[in-house]
Amino acid sequence: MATSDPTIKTTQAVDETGEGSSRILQTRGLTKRFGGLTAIDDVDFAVDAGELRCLIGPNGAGKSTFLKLLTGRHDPSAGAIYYNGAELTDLPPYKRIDRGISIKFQVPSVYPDLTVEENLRIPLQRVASKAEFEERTIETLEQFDLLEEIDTTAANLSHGQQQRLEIGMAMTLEPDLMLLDEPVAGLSVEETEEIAELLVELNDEDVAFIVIEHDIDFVASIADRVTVLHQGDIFTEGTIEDVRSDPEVKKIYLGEDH
Amino acid sequence: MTNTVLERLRAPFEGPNTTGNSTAFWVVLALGVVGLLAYPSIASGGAAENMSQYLAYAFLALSLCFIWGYCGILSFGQVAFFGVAGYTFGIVAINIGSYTGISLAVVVALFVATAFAAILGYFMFYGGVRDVYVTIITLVVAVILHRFMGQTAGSEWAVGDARLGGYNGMVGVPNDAIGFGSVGIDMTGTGLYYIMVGTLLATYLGLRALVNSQFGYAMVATREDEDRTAMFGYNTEFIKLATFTFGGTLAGLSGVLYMFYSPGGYINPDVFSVSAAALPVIWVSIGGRKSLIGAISAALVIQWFNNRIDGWLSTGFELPALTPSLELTTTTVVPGNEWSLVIIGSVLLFVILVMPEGVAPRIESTVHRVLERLERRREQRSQSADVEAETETEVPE
Amino acid sequence: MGPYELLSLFFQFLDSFAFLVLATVGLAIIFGMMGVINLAHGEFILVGAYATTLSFHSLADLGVPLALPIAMVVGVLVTMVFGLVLEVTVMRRLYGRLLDSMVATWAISLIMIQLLRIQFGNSIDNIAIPGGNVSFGPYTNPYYELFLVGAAIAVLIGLYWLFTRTDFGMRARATIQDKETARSMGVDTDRMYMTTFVIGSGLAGLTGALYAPMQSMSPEAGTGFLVEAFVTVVVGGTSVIVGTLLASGLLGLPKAGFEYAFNSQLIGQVAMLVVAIVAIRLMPSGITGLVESWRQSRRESND
Repeated sequence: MATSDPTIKTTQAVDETGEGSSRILQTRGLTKRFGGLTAIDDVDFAVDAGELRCLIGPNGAGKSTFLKLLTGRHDPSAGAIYYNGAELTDLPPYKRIDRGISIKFQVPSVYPDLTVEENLRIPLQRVASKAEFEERTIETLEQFDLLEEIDTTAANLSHGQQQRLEIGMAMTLEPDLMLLDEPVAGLSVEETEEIAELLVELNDEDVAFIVIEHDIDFVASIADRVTVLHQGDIFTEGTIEDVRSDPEVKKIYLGEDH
Repeated sequence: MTNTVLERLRAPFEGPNTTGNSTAFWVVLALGVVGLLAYPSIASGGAAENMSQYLAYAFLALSLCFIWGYCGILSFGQVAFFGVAGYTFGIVAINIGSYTGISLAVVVALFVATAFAAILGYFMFYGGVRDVYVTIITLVVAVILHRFMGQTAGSEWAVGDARLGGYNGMVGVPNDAIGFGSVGIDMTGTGLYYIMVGTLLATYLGLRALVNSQFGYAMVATREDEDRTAMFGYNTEFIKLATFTFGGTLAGLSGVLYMFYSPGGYINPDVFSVSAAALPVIWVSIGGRKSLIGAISAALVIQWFNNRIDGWLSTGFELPALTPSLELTTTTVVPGNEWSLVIIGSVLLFVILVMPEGVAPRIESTVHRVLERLERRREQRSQSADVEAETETEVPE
Repeated sequence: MGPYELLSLFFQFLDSFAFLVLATVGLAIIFGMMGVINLAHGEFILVGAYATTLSFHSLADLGVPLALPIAMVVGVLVTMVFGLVLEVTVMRRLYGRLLDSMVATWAISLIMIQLLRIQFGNSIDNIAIPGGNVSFGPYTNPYYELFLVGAAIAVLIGLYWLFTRTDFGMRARATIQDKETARSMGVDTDRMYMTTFVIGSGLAGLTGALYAPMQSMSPEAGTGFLVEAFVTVVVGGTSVIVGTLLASGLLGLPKAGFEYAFNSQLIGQVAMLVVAIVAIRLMPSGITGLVESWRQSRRESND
C-alpha cells in the first residue's frame, strides 16, 4: 500500500536487476507467514519473458503457496511482486489476470456441469469479439484435441481431457505468463508426453511459463531453467543438469518419496 | 424466409442458459400470453383482480430466480426489497398524491429498493460473506424490518402525512392512476391487469436476453465456481453485487406493482414476515430455479391454487363411503382451508426430494425425450418403408 | 446505576445467554457435523415444548408426583423420535446439498407450524413457572431462570464430555475434519450423521421442555427460537461448543444491554441482530472460522 505509482516501481525494478526489460516477473523479499510459521521466506525470484521455468522442491517447500501469492489468492506478509516492471502486490486476482497472467490449478478446475464449449466460452468471451468467437472456439479445441467433445459435459471428460481443457481455457486469455501447478499429476505416460509437447509448442510462441512439478523427467523434457525451493526459500537455481548433479539438492530430497 | 426472420428475432433470447429454445416453446408461450390476456373476459372481475396480485408476485419470483438460479445467491430476504419499495411508494404517494406524485413514487420506490440491495450486497460480497451466510443475513434483514415496522404504531412514526401504523399497516395510499400533471393512465381493474401482463412479458424477455449474454455467462460461471472464475479475470464480487442489486430492483418493482393492486392502498409489516419470505423460495424451488418461465408460472399457479384450494377445502369434497350395512353412499369431507399451507409445503418438500431442478426443467426434458422418441420412430418407419419398397421391387425379379 | 440495577442487568445478561445457548446447541451440533442449517429447528423445539406441556397436564391430572421432570423427559424423547423419523425419510437425501437442505427444512417448518395450529389451535395451556423468586431491592427474578443458566452450562459441559471423552466424540470429530479419511478408517459416517441428527433433535426437545414453563407456546413461537439460534450459529461458526459459548456471550451482551436500557425486548432483539450481521461481515465464517482459517493456513504451509 506504500506506493502504487508504477513508474517509480519500474525504475526501481530495472535498477535492481540491471536488465529490467527482459524480466517479466520478479519478486522482492516476498514473505508469507501463517501464524507463527513462515511458508515463504524473503524470496527474490525472477523469470524472463518467454522463459519456461520449473519450480521443484520437496513437499512443504512452499511451492503452491508461492503460486497463490503470485495470483493474489494469498496476500503476502511482506515483500513485493513486479510484473513487466509494474507492481501488482496489492491488486486483486482478476486485475492480475487482466495484466496477462493466467493460471492452471493443481486439481483440474473446469466447470463440471457445463459443456466443453460453454467452459471455453467463459474465458474466451473476455478476449474474443463476436465475429471471431466461433473460429477461435474451433481453433482452440483442435489445438487441444477436444473438438469431438465440444458438447460433452466437462464432468464426463477423462482426467487427461480435463487437464487439456483447463490449459486450453487458461491459454485462451493469451497470457504472457502462464502458471501451471502440477499439470501432469495423475496423467498416463502418453498424456504426459502430449502435455510436454504442448507446453514446448506454446512456449515457442513467446509465452513464459512457471511450472510446478514433481516429475523430474517431465521437468527435464521442458525446462529452460529450474528453481529449487526448500523451506520457503530458493535453495538453488540453474539448468536441469546443474540441479540434477547438485549433491545438496539430492540431500534435501532424501527421505522424500523421490 | 419468414423462418429466418423469426429465427433472427429469437436469437438474442435463446441460449443454453434458458429453458425453452424451440419453436414449440415459443408457440406455447404465445398461447400462454393470449390466455392471460383473455382471462379477464372469461373469468369474473374478482378473479381477474386476484390474478393482478399474482402477476405482481411473479416479479418477486423472477428476482429470486435471477440471483439464485443464475448466480447461486440464495436470498431468503427478497421480500425486504419488496416491502421497502411498497412502503416507500406509500410514503411518497401519500405526501404528494397527484398523478405526478404517483409517478415520482414509482421512481423513488425503485431507487430506494435498488440502493438498499446495493448497500446490503456491497456489505456482504465485498466482505467475503458467502453461501449459507448470505442466506441467513438476508433472512435476518427481513426479520429486523418485520419487527421494526411492527413497533411503528405510535403517531410519532410518520413521514410527513404518511403514518407507518405498526402492525395495522399503512392505509390509503393513492394508487389508481399514474401520469403527469392532469394526464393520467388508469391503474385499476383490467387496465392495471394488462399493464402488468405487458410489463411481465417485457421483463421476462429482457431477462432471457440478459442471462444469455456475456454477463449471463459471467453469472453462471460465478455460480459454478467463484474462485476459478476470478482466475479468468472476472471481478466476481462485482458480478454478484450487480446481480443482487438488479434482483433488488426486480423485487422492488414487484412491491410497487403490488401497491397498485392493493385494495385501499394498504401495506402492513407482514410483507416482511418469515412466512411471506418463504413464498418466493417456494415458487422458485417448485418452478425451477434455473428457469425464468418456471418461476413465473409457479408464482401464478401456486397463488391461484392457494386461493382456490381455500374455497375447496372449506366447502368440502364428496367422497364415496360405505354404510355399516355395507351400502355404498357418499360422505362430505370438510378438511378446512387451513390445510392449504400444509399441501403447498408438502409439494415443496416433494419437489426438492424428487426433482431438485424443479418442475419446468423436468417438463422440458420430458417433452424433449418424447419428441426425440417420436422422431426416431418416424425414422425407423421410413427406413422400414424403404426396405419394404426395395423388397417389393425385388420381388418381381 | 446502583448495585441492584447492576445485578438486575447481570441477571438479564445471564437470562439472554442461557436462552441463546439452549436455543442454539441443537442447531449447532447439526450444522457443525453436516453443514446443514435446519430451518425447522424452531419447530423441533416446539415439539419438545408441546409434548412436555401436554404430558405435564395429563400427568398432573392423574396426580403423578414429579410430573414436570417426567414430562420434560417425555418431551425430549418425543423430539428425538421425531428427529429420527425425519432423518430417515428426508434429511439423509439432502446431505451435501446445503442450499436444498435449507429450503427443504423450511418446507418442513411451514408444514409443522400449520399442523400444530390445526391440531392444538393458536395456543395451549401454560405450565406455571416452578420454584419461587429471588428478590433483591425492588427487583425479583424467578429461581427457575437461574436453573436455566445452570442447565445451559451443564449442556455445554455435557457436550464437551461427549466430544472429547467418548468413542462417539472421537469418531464425530474425525468425521467433521475429513469425512473420507474417517470413512476409510472404518467410521460409518451415515450412522454418525443419523446419531448427530437425533442428538441435535434431543437438544432442541430439551430446550422446548425447559422453556415450556417460561413462554406461552404457540405455533409461531418456533420462529423466535429459530432466528436467535441461527444468528448465534453463524456467528459462532462450525465449532459446536466454543462457537456456541462465545457467540452466545457476544450476542447476549447487546441483547441484554439494549433490552435493559430501553426496557423493550424488541430493541434488544434488533440490537442483537444488527450486531450479528456486523459480526458475520467481519468474520465471514464465524468466530471459529477465524481459528479454522488459521489452522488451515498452517496445514497449507506444510503441503
